[in-house]
Amino acid sequence: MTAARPAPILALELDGAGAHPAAWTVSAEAPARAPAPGRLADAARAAEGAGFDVVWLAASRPWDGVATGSAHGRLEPLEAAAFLAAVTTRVGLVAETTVEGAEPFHLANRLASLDWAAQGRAGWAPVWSPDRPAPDGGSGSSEHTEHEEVLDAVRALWDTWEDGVLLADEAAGRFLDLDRWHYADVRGEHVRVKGPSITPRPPQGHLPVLGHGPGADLVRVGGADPADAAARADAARAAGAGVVLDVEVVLDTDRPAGVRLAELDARATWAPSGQLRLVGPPAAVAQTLAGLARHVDAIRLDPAVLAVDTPVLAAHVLPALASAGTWAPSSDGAAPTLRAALGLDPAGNRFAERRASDDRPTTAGGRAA
Amino acid sequence: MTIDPRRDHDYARPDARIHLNLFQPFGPVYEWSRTPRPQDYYEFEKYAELVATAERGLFSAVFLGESLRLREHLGALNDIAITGRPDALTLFAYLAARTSHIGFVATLNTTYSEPAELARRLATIDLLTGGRAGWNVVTTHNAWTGENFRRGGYLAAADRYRRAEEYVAAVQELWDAFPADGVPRPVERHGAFVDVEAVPSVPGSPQGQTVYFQAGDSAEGRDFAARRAEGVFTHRIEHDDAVAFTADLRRRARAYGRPGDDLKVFPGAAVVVAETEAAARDKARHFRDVFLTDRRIRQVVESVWGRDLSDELDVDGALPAEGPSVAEQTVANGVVNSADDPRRKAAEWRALAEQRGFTVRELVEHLTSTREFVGTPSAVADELAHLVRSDAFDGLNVTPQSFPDGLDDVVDLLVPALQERGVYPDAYAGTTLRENLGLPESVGHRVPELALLGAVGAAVEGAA
Repeated sequence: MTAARPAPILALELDGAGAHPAAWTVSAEAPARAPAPGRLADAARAAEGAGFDVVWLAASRPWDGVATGSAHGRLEPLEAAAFLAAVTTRVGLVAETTVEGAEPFHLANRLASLDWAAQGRAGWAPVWSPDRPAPDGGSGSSEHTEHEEVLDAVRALWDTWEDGVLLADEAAGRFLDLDRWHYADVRGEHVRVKGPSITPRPPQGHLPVLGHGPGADLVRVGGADPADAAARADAARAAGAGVVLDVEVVLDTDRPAGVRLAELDARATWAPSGQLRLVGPPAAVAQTLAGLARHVDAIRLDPAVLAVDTPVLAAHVLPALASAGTWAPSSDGAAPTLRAALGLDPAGNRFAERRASDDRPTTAGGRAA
Repeated sequence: MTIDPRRDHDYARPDARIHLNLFQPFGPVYEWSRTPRPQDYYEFEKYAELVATAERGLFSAVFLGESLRLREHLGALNDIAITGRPDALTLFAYLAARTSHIGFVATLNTTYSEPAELARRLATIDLLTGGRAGWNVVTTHNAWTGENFRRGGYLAAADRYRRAEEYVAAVQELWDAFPADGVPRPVERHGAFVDVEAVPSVPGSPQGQTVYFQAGDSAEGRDFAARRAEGVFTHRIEHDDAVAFTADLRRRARAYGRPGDDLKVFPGAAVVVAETEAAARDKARHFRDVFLTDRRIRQVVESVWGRDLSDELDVDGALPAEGPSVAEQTVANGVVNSADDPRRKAAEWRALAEQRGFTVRELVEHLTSTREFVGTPSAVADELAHLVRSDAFDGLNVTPQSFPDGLDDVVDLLVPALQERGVYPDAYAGTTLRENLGLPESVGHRVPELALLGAVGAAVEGAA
């Protein structure tokens, strides 16, 4: 992680009807069971237009499952993000995927493809399982090790096609440079993968990894209250990681946020998710976020009701943050890569580094005649 | 008075229409210098250009093969050809936003994935496209592919079909458990190979459910198609062979209570058309020369001999007098279907070369030649009309020979010629893949599961 940017970037969660399990009952849109791609595209374009830096797509919600007889359809986040890549131009696109039992080979190809689709605007938010954001147990636990191994194997696969590997030398009949094309040869306790990946190295080299578990570039934190969130963020930074603050928001509309929340809670229980939950007038919420800004690198806003709270964020909270100098909407010009937007250094490549550290050029890898 | 050519023959289907799909094989052979940047082969917008041409030509679907390990040669990475590609469903999700009618068929393996996730991902593509998704069901068992996965080559050859059966049944049940206008219900299945406990989260699409494809030629493969598939990808394309194959498939489907014509058969082929016959032949010759470099010819021989022949093989001379000494061909040598004893294969090749007076180059050209329709638009259209009216097949999986402009001539020259003959639509029939292929409700609803579970293991083979 490089030095923190002067202002955090802002992400908007776009999954489903909103963070509250009863969100679908009060959405401005008529509740529909099938997720409508057109509405998702409109929401992403609106977020981009409002100046959000990132659109985020969650893999799961705590209430997913059998219990909700009202269950509404959802789209798989990575495919939804690839769809949104085609209808947006600047905004970052972060997709959650689950890690438990996942095959790094599939993940590496799918995520690299998302980055090709988004031309360097993609991010990866690994979560442990549909029920748990982070693996149980501390360092050394089996789950912890599996999480680390999956993330490392995915990054190893992203390195298997080095920059410059594509020769297309028609005279020599060589499309690829064997010196820059590698097996990953990962053999961990939990994962094995030979490589190379099917999809060439993503445009960003490595997608930024925003997660709860070990190995993330940016660590996601929540908090019981703003002071708790600030303390968690400071602790994560002290450990050398960047920080994404997860915030659920319920905002005043023509009716007070507290009244809206009580109505929603009467329809479905909104269990605490570990995210910081801010309920109130937009000015107060903006002030709290401004106070937390210097502790974090990104703030992920998860509206209780997407169709109701997002317009308030766009109309009041974002402008308030901008005028406080806490945040600047991304300017015109070339879209930044997500790594750049997050202040991350360009990704290295383990094979290029290994080659550079050798005295002589390697001929390993079975050069064909 | 005009003569209706449809009445000149006693055609099985005088009013049949042909469907065209865009098929991109894994590791296509293109002329690299036609494209300014080699990374263009992986750019989603370049795919969007190619697919826009296909959609302008009213193609039914984009059909992608799959590879779960990059092809090798003599046990090492092979730098000879374009390889690698975007993940099919990620690409299709992107293209969903760039298209409005064309379908998207992904080849997805059942051996190294889990049904609940695959069911969600395919259903997502089906929703994002408004009901234009298809799934080409394939399976594998080789340990070489398994090296890219946690479990390695865990399946015995015979068991992969049993797993595939259970897998497809689980996907079907998950899809059934969340219809477009319904509420999801939990699914629990425990089989010998597949365990599922899940609540589906993605509802059905405007076409109900994703269209099933299959690519297999054995008796078991055909039976699987008869029970499970709505589209079949095949190599059988010569008139008599194709007519017999398609008739056999339709007969098998009828045995499961299906009408028979609800199974659409698509052989793969290249189509090279130009204003004159000579120009078309020149173009086809050019594509062949681009493909058959001296190095590739040598690789074809080396993959059977199992060793480097660079110092001893003259591609314009004869096959090596000695060898091969290896007992079996392996995938790692670059051979896809490695069931043959290489010594037997070499003996066959020597006999063929002697009989026909072939050099190595001519031999390999003969062995690697794929079916091409080459000629003027009207000549090719006549031939295709004849084949489809004879019920040889329902359509073609057309492999473009350049990127992203490889369908321009087919769409601009051949499609109008087909339309003039009344053998090709003038507009899309609807907005879903089912509508555009003329398919009824999913076969998963029409063939009772009892029949499926009672069936023997089916063979499904990869469409690479």
